[in-house]
Amino acid sequence: MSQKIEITIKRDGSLEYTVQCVKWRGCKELTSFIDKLSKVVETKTTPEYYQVETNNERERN
Amino acid sequence: MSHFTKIDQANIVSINAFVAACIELGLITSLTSVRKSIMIKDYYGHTMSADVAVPVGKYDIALVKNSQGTYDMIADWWGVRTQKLPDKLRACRSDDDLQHILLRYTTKHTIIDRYRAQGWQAKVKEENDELKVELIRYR
Repeated sequence: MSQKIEITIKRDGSLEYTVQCVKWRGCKELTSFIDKLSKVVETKTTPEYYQVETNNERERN
Repeated sequence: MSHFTKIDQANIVSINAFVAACIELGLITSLTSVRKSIMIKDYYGHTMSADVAVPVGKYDIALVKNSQGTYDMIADWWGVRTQKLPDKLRACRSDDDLQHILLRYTTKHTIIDRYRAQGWQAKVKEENDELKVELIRYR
């Protein structure tokens, strides 16, 4: 199982990232360091959210 | 679970990452030229105490701790741009360009240093003045 964070450091030093992980391992905690580098202006779940969640649930059962 | 986040312009939180960025960009070749806890002059001739300063010809680029506990990057930017700059900085057309590239590389080193220490692997690509950092950890 892998965890992956893809970060884009934009031209002006602002940031965007996507993170793929599993809910019960503390997804938000993985990126809390990046979030603290400045002010978070937007955060949302991605389309993979439900699919990955479902797959993970299946693996657990 | 997956999510996407946007964050405002990053603050500088690590002197080591700033110095690593200066080395990678070719402003300095080693740590020996880095000076810590010194007095510097800004564009207006004001003297101030800096936590660290990197020499660029006759000028310095310095970090000064602010009230939020992060660092402000201080320099006579016009003066710095009149000096002989390394290749990666020669394309900077303005003070903002120069500050932004230093900030991008400092942020990259800040993030990579932190995550590598926790067992993550990092890959970096540069595309159109943006840095793409991919972090992976296998559990």
